[in-house]
Amino acid sequence: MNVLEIDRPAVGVIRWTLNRPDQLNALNAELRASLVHAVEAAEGDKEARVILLTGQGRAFCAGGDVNQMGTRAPVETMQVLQFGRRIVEGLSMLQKPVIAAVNGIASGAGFNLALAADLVVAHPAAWFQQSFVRLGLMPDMGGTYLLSRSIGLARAKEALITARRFSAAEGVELGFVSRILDGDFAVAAVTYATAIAESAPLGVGLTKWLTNRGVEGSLAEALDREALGQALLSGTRDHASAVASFKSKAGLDGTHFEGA
Amino acid sequence: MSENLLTEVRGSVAHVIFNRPEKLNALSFGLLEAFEQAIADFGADDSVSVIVISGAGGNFSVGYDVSPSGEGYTDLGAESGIWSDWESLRQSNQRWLKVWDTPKPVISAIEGHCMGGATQLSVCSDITIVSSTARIGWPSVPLGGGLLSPPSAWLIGPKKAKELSFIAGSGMSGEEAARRGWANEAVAEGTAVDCAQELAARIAQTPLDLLRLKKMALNRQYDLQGFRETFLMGAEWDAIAHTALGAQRTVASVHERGLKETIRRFKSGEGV
Repeated sequence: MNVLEIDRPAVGVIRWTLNRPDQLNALNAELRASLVHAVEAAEGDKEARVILLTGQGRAFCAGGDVNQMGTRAPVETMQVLQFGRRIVEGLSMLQKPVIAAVNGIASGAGFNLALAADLVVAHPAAWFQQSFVRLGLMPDMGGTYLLSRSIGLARAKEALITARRFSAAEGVELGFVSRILDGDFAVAAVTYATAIAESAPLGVGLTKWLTNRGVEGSLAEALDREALGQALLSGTRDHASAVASFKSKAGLDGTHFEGA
Repeated sequence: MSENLLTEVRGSVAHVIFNRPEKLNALSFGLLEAFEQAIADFGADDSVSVIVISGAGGNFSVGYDVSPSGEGYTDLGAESGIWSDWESLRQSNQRWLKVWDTPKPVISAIEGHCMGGATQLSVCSDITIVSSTARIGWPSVPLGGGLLSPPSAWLIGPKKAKELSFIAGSGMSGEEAARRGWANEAVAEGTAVDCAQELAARIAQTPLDLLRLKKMALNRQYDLQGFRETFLMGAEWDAIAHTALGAQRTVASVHERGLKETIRRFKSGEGV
């Protein structure tokens, strides 16, 4: 079983399915590496005009694997986030439209993975959450940048700071979800992708790429600041106690943050 | 491993050696693919702390293989169309950035000729040791533009970079390259690889996790200043330059008269 299933459901469409359904498609080292590899291979893949990114099971992606956190040294966090950088920058620079078909939960880095796509379509019951601060961490994989670019600074901060859930309908209202697809979600997503795959690939590719560049103050800078901030936070007691709570029966709600 | 590329590990130092001495180590597709693989392999190997790149037979490399046989990357204009020309240039620039991104120090040890695309590799290396008699050379005839000089400008400043860019066939000796900051040090002819090995062994005394972080800290500083973006942008500039009439005349001359005769005519002032 591959943690990233790759198939071609229609002409011009390559589909990447995050495939760790029992872990809500959380990003572990293997899945991150598979995504990096898939992004790199997509560039030269002439058959792939549109990338459709989706998840297996009830989640799109639950973000980082909390079970792998807590004991991670800051210097290790820097290395993990370099994979995040390669995925986000890779998707952003890729000269092909990337559609995130959010079939369910998109939380933490999973939300930001969707935002790194060019278009987000969602299942009616999908929900989105910038859950990072609940772990005593801060957004990574471009979240501080991508969400404010997408929905504006004030609304982004509300999402990032409160870490509350947003429904797919709210996503449409705020603008980070392009549309909700009714009916058989997987079929509807392929239909949506197919329509885009039928347009001129080079023009669409450069349009996507240069539009992304155009609105950037600098994604690179945001990723740097996140990586440095996150590396510091990953070494704090607050983060360690949040992870301990997560693993205990009390759950995250029982975490006491001491600010250290 | 390709015959075009040799590798050797001495202690925690890996050596990657271009091995087409009869072609002055011109960078063919096969050679470049083997090179990329070797950098990826040694980059991922925790028993290796430093990578040293050099060329067999007394030359580092004369750059992209532009022989009309089409054995390698062609710099001879957009014969297959500007888009694929650009894609190929971009892919090539992305490949050099893999050296920049390799999570450990990379040293280029240069003897003899280091020309064209090989200068991009040296710029992307962390440290360059050069023989004082080496020749750091720009293309002999005007074929393109915007690919080679901007990366070197980070090291030698805009004035000298523009001079090298504007005058076909210009270059620097190893001694001058070191004086201008393009290389760390110029050493006696024939000793560049040994000096690089010695330096690499000293670097390897620093723990690899720290080396990785130190390299990242410095590289991100330059990336945020625009190094990576402008390095990649060279592909756009050069692909566009290949469509200029001035470049196409040179290409036509190379096809008609051969490269050597074209260079001779250009140097003599007859024009191409």
